[in-house]
Order: sequence, then C-alpha cells, then structure tokens
Amino acid sequence: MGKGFLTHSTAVILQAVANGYLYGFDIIDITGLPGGTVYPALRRLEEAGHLASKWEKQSIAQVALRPPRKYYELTRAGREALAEAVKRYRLLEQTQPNKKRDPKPSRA
Amino acid sequence: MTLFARCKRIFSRPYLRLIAVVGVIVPRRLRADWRQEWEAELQCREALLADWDKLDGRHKLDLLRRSTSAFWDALWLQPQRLEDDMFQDIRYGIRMMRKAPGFTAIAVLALALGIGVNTAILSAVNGFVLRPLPIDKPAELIAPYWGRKTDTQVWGKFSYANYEDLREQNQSFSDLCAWTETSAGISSSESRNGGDSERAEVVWGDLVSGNYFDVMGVKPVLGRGFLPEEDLTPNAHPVVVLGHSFWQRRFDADAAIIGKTIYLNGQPFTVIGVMPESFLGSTFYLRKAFLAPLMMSQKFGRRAEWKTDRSYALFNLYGRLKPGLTMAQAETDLNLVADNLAQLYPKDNTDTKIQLTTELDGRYEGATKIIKYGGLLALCISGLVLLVACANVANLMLARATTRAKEIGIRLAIGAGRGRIIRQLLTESVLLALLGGGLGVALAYQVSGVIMATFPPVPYPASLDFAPDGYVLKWMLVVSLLTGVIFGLAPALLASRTDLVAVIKGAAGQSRSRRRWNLRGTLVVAQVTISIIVLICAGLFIRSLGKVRQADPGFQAESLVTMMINPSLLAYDEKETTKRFFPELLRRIEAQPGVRTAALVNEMPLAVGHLSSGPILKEGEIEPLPNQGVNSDYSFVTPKYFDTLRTPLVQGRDFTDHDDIDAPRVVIVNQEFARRFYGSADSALGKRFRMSQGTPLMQVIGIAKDGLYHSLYEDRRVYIFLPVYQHPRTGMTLMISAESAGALSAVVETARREIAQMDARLPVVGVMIGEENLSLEYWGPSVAAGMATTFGVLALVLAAMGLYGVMTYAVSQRTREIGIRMALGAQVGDVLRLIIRQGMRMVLVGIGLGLVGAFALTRVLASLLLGVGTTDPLTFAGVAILLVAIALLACWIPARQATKVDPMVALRHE
Repeated sequence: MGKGFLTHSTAVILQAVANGYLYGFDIIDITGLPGGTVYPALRRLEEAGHLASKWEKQSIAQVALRPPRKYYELTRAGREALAEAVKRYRLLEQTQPNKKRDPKPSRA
Repeated sequence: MTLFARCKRIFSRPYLRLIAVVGVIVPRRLRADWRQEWEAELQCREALLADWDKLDGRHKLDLLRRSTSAFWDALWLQPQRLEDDMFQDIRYGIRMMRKAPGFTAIAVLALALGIGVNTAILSAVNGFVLRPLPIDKPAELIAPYWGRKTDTQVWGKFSYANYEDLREQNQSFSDLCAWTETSAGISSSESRNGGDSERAEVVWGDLVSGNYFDVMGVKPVLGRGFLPEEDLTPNAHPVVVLGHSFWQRRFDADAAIIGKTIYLNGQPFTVIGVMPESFLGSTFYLRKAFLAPLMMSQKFGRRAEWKTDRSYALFNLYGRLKPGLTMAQAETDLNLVADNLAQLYPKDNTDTKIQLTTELDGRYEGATKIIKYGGLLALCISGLVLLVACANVANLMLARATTRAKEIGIRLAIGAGRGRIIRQLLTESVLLALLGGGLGVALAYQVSGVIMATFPPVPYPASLDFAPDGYVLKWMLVVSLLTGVIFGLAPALLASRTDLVAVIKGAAGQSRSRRRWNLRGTLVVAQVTISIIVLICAGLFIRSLGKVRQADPGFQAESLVTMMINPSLLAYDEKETTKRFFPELLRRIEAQPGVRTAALVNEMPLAVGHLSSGPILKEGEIEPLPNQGVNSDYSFVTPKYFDTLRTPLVQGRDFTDHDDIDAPRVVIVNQEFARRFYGSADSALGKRFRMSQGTPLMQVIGIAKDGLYHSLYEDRRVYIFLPVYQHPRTGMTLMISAESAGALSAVVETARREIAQMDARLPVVGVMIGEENLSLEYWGPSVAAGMATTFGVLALVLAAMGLYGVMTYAVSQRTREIGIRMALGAQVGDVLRLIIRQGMRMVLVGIGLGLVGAFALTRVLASLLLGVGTTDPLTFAGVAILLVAIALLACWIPARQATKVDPMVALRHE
C-alpha cells in the first residue's frame, strides 16, 4: 500500500473507524460500501499498520450467544494517514455522523 | 455456548453454513480467525434484528447476501495461500519427485496397478449391485415378493387378480405397480413375405400397469405415458412406449415416430412415447426396447385367463411406502391382505406370504452364490494386491528416507519440528498415491473394457455396465488418499527419528537402526505371504478351469450351430406349428449342402432354463408321500436330436415323425433314469411310467447315454426326453450339425435364408457357432481364472520387486562388511550364500505363513471351485516352488553385485 496515499473508499473506511464504527458490518452500514470491498480494505489497512484488530471480550459475546466479534482501531500511522487523506478528500469528515466509541454492540 | 447449541445454530442458519464452506479456501493460518469474525458479525446482525425463525424473508435474504461477500473477502486472501505449509509441502514434494524419476515411476506404477485392479473390480461390483436405477428416489423403491410360508426367502411373482386386491386393500403403500418382462418379435410389416429388407429381430420389453410411470418416477422424454383407460380393458389399446437406445438404433431417433405403427409379434402397435436415455427398464440387467400396457399381455403370448387366474403368477411388483412407514410395517400389512386372500381363495393362496425388499437389496439377496462370493472374493483379492503394492512403495520410501537422512537431519537440526517433517513426507506419499490413483483409474477403464469383451454372447440385451462411474471414482479418490497415508506413515515416522549427531557427522548411511531393518524385512515377509495366497487362489482357479474344459458335456459342440426361433411370437398356433412348420423347416434345412442333420429342442443342454416334473410314477405305483418321490428334468425334442448332438442311444430307437399326437405316448430316458427306476437299461426298455400323478402313461422306447444337463460339474441326474410332435410347443432352439466344422458360418446363412423364406417376419436370435454353445458354461471359470492369474502375477511381480529392492539396499548397507570378509579370504560363493541366505530367510517365513493362510482362506473358495479340492497339493507345491525360484532370482542379482565389491574400495570408503 502506497505510503500516505489512500483511495477514496479506503479513506472512507478509515474515517468510519475513526468515527467509532469499529466492526465490519457497522462500517458497511454507515459507508454503504459492499462487504466485498470493506473487508479486503480492512485487511489491507491492517496489514499496512493503519488499523489494529482486537477480539471482543469473551464475556460480552457469551451473553449474546455468539462468538466474540473482531473490532478495529486506528493506530498512530492510521491517524496520520487519515489526516493526509482528509486534506485530499475535503468532504470526508462530513459524510458520516460521529459515534461515541463503545466496544459493545449497539442496538441501533 | 455448549457444543450442541453451537451445532444447532450452525445447522439451522444457512448463512453460517455458507461461511463454513467458504472458509475452506481461506488460508489455514487465518481460517479460524476469519470464520469467527464473519460468524460473529452475522450473528450479531441477526441478534439486532430478531431471532432467525422470526425474521421475514427480506431480512433473511439480506443476511445471506451479506454472508456472500465473505466469499470475495476469502478470495482476496488467496495469494497468501501460497505461503501455506501445505502448498510449500506440495511444491517441495513435486521437486523431490522430479529429482528421482526412477523411484517416482516405479512407485506410481506399482500403485497404479494396485489401484487400477481395485477400481475395475469395484466398478464391476458397482454395475451389478450398487448402481441404482435411474429413477426418482431409487433407494425407496420397494419390491414385494410372494411365496410359500415354509420358505425362508421367497422370490415369487404375483397373479394379476392378487395384485389388484393387494393394491386396493393395503394401507401402507402410496401405490403399487405391476410389470413383467417379455420378448417380442419386431418387424416393420404385417405380411408373411414382408418385402422387408430389415431382418426381423427379437427385442425385450416390459408389460406394465398404468401407474408404472408414477410409481417409478420416470416420464417419457417424447410423447406420453399410458392413460388410465389404457389400463382397463384387455387387448383394447395397442400402444407402446419405446426405449431410447432402441428408438435411436432402429428408428434413427426420428421424433416423428410418435403416432406411427410398429409390428410387435406381427400385431400393430401405435408408438405414443419414447423413454429417457438413462432409463433402461425395470431391472438393472436387461435393456428394454419397449414398454406396453399389461392389458396387452395376451398379444405377448400370455394365456387369455391371465387377468382372472390366481395361480397364473406373472407379475413383479414395485411400490413406494407412504411417508413415515417402515418396511416391516408394510410387510405386516401386506401379509394381512394375503391372509385374507387365502381365506377367500384357498386354492391358490393357502400358506403363502409376502416379503419386502428394496430393489437394490434384492439384487444382492437374489444374486447367485457364485456371483456373491465371487464378487466378495474378487474385492478381497484385489484389496490384497493393493496391500502388496503399498508394502512395496513403503519399502521404497524407507530406502529413500535413508538416502534423504542427511536432508531430514539438517532440517531437524535447524529447527523443524518432527510433526513438520512427517507432514512433509506424508504429503509426498499422498502425491504419489494420487498420481498412482489417476493412472490406475485410466487403467481401470481399459480393464473394464476387457471384462466386457469377455462376456459370452447371450441372446439377451444385457445392460450391465462395468465402466467406473462417479461413485467408483469418488471411492477410488478416498482409497488413493488412504493408500498414501498407509504406505507413507511408517516411513515418515521412522525418517523423522533420525540420529542427528550421526547425520551431522556424515555417517548417516552407516547408522543402521535395527528397527528399520526389521520393518523392511517384515514388509517383504508380508508381501510374500500375500502373493502366495493370491497365487494359490489363481492356481486353484486355473486347475478348476482345466477340469471344466475337460468335462464331457455329453455332446459335441465343434460342428454344431444353434439358434432360437419362436413362431408363436407371430401368433402361429402351437399345434399347427408343431405339425407343419417345424417338420417342413427341418426338411428344408437338411436338404441344404453342408448340413449333416438338424433337430429342434426347447432348451439346449447346459442352457439356462429347465423344466422339471414329478414325482415319477412307474406303471402300477401309487403316489408317494410328499417329498418322497423323485422328480426328473425333461426336454422336448424332435427326431434326430441325439444324432445331431452325437449323443448315442445305447438301447432302443429314436423318435420318428410318426410319434405324433395321434400315436401312443413314447419317451426316451437317460441311463441314470433307467438305472434308478428299473435297475438297468435292458429292463427299462418297453416299461411305462407317468411324469406325475394324473398324466398319461408313456412307454420307454430308447435309452440315451448319460450327459450333463444343468452344468458341467453336476452329478449324474435322471433325465427324460419327450417327442415335441406329441407335446406341441413353439419356442424352440434349432440345432444343426454341419458336415465339417469349417462350414459353420455358411450353415448359419443357409439356415437364416431358409427360415426367412418360410416367414420373413420370424426373428432368429441367439445364434451360437461351435464352441460358443459352451461359452456360457466356460465364462465364469475362465473369468475367475483369468482374474486370479492376473492378480497372482501382479502380486508376484510386486513382491519380487520388493524383495529385490530390499536386497539391493541390504547389499549397499553391507558393502564394507563384505569388503572385509573378502579381504579376509571369503570366496565369491561364500558371499553369494551370505546374501541369498539373508533374503531367503524372509521368503521362507513368508511362504510358510502364506501356505497356512491359503489353507485357511481357500475353504471359503470351496463353493466356487469345481472339481478341484481346496487343498490341491499340486497347486500348493507348484506355487511355493515358483515363488522360491522367483525369490532366488530377486536375491541373486543383488548378491552378485555384492561379490563384485572390491575390498580395497570398500575399506578405503571409511
């Protein structure tokens, strides 16, 4: 992945994570991008070090009767890359509402 | 979450199944994480919406759509797969195989032979008993059979009236249909002198009830099936549905055939449909040319009272159970109906019962003992051959592991885990096995072709197919993989336990672990054991075939031509045919050049069908108690029958043309009959007896020499010959004895011409020339002998290869020792003895074990071996000597190499 250069959709995804949408499906919902785009992008971003992933706590998942979810966080490199991208895609910050950072699954 | 709850969730939700499936292509390193992420996301989504069962279709669809994007995700991860251990192993394995082409070729070839014969045998078994009928839900097709209560297994058919009652009164079948097989003469014209260039032929078909198509779950691809009204009135609706291959062959797949008229048994039938290509008929073994309503039974030679006579059991039944019912319940239900029928119609239904089996199980249960045991034995023997091949490859792998000890040691030394090494080696052996499997299946196609080609000419359109199908291929893939693991595991385990220090010091070749040696020796012993067992089987079968060929069938087949004709197919009257048509036919044929004599018989000796009657009552005798009398088989013959077969009459005279319906009843019996009933041929002549209670007395006018009637290995049996001119019949076999064996095919043409001149519509079938008349009898034993021999030779070659390999290896290991011995004064002979003794020790142990094994195993063969004891000493000794000779050779070559060791070189080697 080119340093500091993100495609628009990748930047949108990064922005979504920054806005507090930490799970693949939440990102799909908020960005409106297809899952076949979002997931590979997440993996590329993770590989490039822009994102880091963590598994949800077992106790939370157990209550919901499902395996723990994987959630993504911006790394420092990710934040820098996003800042770069925002300069280029000026409308990026306004495309999606901010969300309170909350590792629990929302019932929205 | 409990495991159960988890399983339940996964199986109730299609999206989770999809994830599980797609996950297979995700690199293994990432797979668990990947699956978990997707499952968690999807389940979380579901939890947000509602429980799955309460979701509406739109949301369900949305979840599914979301889960499909997992596939793209997985696809994107594909490049990382190349870094998978497995791919690495495979790439490395292929490199190693290409580095040692000789080893690879031998291993693959050995496996291909082993897997190939197994595929061929499994295919044949598959063709007989495993391949389902090409109909809807074939495994659920139930076949009821009818018979006496005293019999443990009944195979009887049903009368039409009983079928109708069963169908109406049973509570357990959703429907029952009836069918029966029939042959018919087909011609394209109605008139006797036809003007018809095509030869009339006999075809086989099924007469079926109107609900047949529904019960079977098949539909014509062209036209329609039978209408309900075509299933009501006898002889009212001459319609016919053609079989696909018959339609293609005879009518060039002409779609315009629908509505046209064809002539079956000389009667016009309207073609209303064509069956699908896959559908061959009601049974797995006969290819049917047509289906006709069973209401037309009379047109196919059935008696007029077929519909009402409860003793006229003509029909097979097929049915399907109502949902939720078991076979046992249905059987109880049908037997209630049967008991009811027994009360209403005691004459024909007393003491009868009904048994159910599925069509597929029925094939196996109904198969003759020879086919059952033969198939099982073939599977066992081919399995043994595969084991020998496995042992062989395992030995090769062991030897190779020794040469690769350095490589493996280094890998271990720089940190490879033992599991990793084992996996690498197993990957290589599985690769070999798959290559061998692929080649083996290709070989199997050839072999099944050969098996088909040896099939004797039978006058029936057999639909047996011995080519491997998807089912067989799937199994062979499993077998190949298993083989790879079986022969790869032990060498891999041993190789990964390399002595690191020795390897690093460069002394790997010398460090000989005793265990490895023992394993190699054990493998050789096992190979020799198995191959001697297989060879003894082969030997016994060959001896048995020899006995069969020497057996005197009681007639001379060399200059004999036979063919079947049945004028009643063309609605000829029985009496008229017997009185005029047959004598005229024989007169015409005997007048032809090259023909010595000609005669007719209803069934050739050693043919499939037999008539039997009894108990025989001598004049003045009263009927014996049940099960006490003696029955006798009989056939109907014309004058000159004995002359044509060159079976001499030992006493009395032959039938003449004057022994007809108006003349006193006469009979010819065989010597055994005369002996059994009258003490001798002399005293039998002129005596009178009845075939059974209530039949007219018949006078013995001649005594025929004993012959073989049912099979070539039967004991002497009593036999009666009746003059056909006194007992009118029409379905006959025409036998012509040619003046010389060279003129046989000319005689066939002459006979065909003469028959066509009498009636061009009359089909001639089952033409057998010379020795072919016995081919059906020879077929079983010769296939058994051929197959067992092939297997035996294969096992022998494989075992010899294995022994040779092991000895070569042993010699290379002992080079230094041999060098020292020679330096100390050992002679060439000493060295030869040393090596050969080492090899022969294993061989002798193997032979000993093999002889014991064969002694035990061949008891099972007793029923398949004809005229040879299962402990035939000649076979046992012969095979043992053969094996010793081959083994000596396999040891001698490496031993000679050993004698060429130069002591100086061997010693300097250190």
